[in-house]
Amino acid sequence: MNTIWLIASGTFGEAMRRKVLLIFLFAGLAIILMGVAFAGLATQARDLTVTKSLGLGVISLAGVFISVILYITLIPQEIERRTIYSILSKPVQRYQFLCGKFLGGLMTVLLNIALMGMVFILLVAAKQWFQYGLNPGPAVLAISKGILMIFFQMTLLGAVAMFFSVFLSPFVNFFLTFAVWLLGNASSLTEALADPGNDPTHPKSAFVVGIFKVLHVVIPNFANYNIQNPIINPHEHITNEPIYIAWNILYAIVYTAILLTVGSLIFDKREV
Amino acid sequence: MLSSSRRLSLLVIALLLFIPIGFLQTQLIDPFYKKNYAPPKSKSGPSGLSLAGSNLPATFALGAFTGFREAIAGMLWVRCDEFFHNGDYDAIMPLIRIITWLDPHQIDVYETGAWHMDYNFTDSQERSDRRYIPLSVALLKEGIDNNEDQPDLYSDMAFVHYFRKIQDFPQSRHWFGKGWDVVTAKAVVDEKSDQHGLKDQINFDGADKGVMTVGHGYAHSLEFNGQEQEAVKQWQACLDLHQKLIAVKDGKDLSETQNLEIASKQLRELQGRLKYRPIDTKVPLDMGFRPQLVRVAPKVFVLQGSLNAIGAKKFVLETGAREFGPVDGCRVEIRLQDENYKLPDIGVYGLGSAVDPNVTIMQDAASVRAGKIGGDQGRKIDMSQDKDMYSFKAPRYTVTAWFAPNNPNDAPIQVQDRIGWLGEGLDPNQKNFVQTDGKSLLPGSVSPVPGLRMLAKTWTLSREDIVGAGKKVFN
Repeated sequence: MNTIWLIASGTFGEAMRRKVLLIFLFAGLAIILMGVAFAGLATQARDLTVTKSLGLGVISLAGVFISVILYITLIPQEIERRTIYSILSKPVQRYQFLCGKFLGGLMTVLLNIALMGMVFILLVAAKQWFQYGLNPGPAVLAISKGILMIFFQMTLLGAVAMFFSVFLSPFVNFFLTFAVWLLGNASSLTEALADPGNDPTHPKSAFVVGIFKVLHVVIPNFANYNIQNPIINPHEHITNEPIYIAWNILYAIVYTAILLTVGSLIFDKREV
Repeated sequence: MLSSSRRLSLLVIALLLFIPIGFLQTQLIDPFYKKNYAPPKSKSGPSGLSLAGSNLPATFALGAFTGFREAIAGMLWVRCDEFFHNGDYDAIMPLIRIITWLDPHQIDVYETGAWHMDYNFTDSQERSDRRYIPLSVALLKEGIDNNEDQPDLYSDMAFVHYFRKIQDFPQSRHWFGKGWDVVTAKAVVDEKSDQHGLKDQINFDGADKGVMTVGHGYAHSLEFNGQEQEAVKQWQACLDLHQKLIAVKDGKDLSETQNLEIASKQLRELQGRLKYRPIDTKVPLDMGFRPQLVRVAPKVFVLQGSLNAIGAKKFVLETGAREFGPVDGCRVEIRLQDENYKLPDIGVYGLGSAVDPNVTIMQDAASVRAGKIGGDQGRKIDMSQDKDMYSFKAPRYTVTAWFAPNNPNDAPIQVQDRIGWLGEGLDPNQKNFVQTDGKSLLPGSVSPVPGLRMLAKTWTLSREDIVGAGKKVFN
């Protein structure tokens, strides 16, 4: 565990020095701050809706870019610079190296999302309090839940990118990870296609339904983590929401474990 | 390097982990997500899948799938407002469809969208375009389907739409009743909580506004359907909830006290009327309803004629002192529509929803002053300026002019004091008297009110009667 932690902390330090990630971080922060510009929208509800939705969307999108750019390069960069040889020549197992890299990347993503999240929460709280005289407490709590879900979505996305990075070039990995992310966000479509339906005039092929059922389970479901709607519409009350959040955290952890395990097995066989 | 057997066992473990993943996804997460977060697969609206496959622009679909649903919806709604101010109504309709799909919980889009369709798409004389009503109904129904626990949408459907616009009081009562069920369900009695020192502690959770908007409206709608005793009970139920709310709020909310006073005054007045109206409606009244339709130019008519309203010029409910005589304030409604037109039930508000350009409907109302419909000049109805709205494609048209005693717009309260809630005081032998016998005789597919007695006159006109030149009188 100590080995994993050492690799993780080294990865975190190195990742934080990478300017390309800072660009996404600052761009995200800038767009969130621009939310103030929407103060002139027609109504208070509309103004807050757009501000909250835009803020959460930007954190999510910036998080996606940070995660993908970071994770697709973590392993290939080590191979390209040949620094991996000096690490693997020490008593370090390849799975420890992979897990350490993943954890280091995750700490970087966490810090970035936390920074954007804090700025966004302060902005919304100030807007609610000073502009509209509303108690910011419930909104802050709701947005925190949204940011937590974004973080676990990025954990899963990072695991996907890291999995592909052990056998694909960063260029191919970038597009493939994005494709998986988009597909995983459209899970309501795969689920609908996996539904056999009950219309006798338009029967669905059992084979096709079966394929979509498998796809629906195998493709990591990123849409699970998009819980913005009730956050943005405070009159919507979701019963047992903490349980739903817990299921999704468990989902992210188990799915990440699968990807890291299979990734480690592939990496273990790979010639470096 | 791992041994082959260890590699195999790790691979098997990894693959086996898809079992809990599949269970989590399909059994726990999917049902919860669909219920609470997914774009609506509504009872009256399209599903996410079908909409994605039916001309939804890819940019919106992409936005919807990447966490920007509500931001896009918000910006589109701002754009809608610009279209409305520019009079580009056709552009608004599909935008509303996309916005409510992207964010099905933005109540104000349903409310404002339906309000625009009901009231604000007008001709040059500011008569609303009634062809939008089926769309408005479909949109509000979808809003209610997607937000079943929000009293505001029920009150919009019941009051803004059915009560004020269509004047369909049975439908208004129906939706107020459904909304009232929501309000009372929200006013949960929680006997365990006693932080205000009350036996019955209630968690209103947004129901407080609904007691006024839905509860009071429901009582009025019962009255306009001739269900006065039920209306009394409803006012009492409102009073009860207002009192509980005042207690919960420790009397700090002055508007709640005002609402209580309003409900209590309405109840007092209703009870007073229940006492005196059965007496005052006993003598049959001939109101001399003689509407006349005059074509003054092609597609231009004047509604004129007489309606002699008698009402309470003075009425002290407490003492019963009252005095009747001729009064102003009545209105006569008029509607022209294609012969045999029936309000279509479009069911689903879709991307391609639009008004039928071949249908012609005009509805207006004329106030009655000194017994003259439309005053000395009559009510001028000019349909010649708005060819898109009044296409006159049908060969024949039905024009109906009517006075409905249960409609507070037609018969103000002082007139109802003489003729009753359902026209009980009208002389059945007078000209143009109609005993509805539980059938709706009102155009516009208005639901029947059992026991309603009214005054109505119907003309059937040919297209030539409407577009022809010169003056022509229809008696």
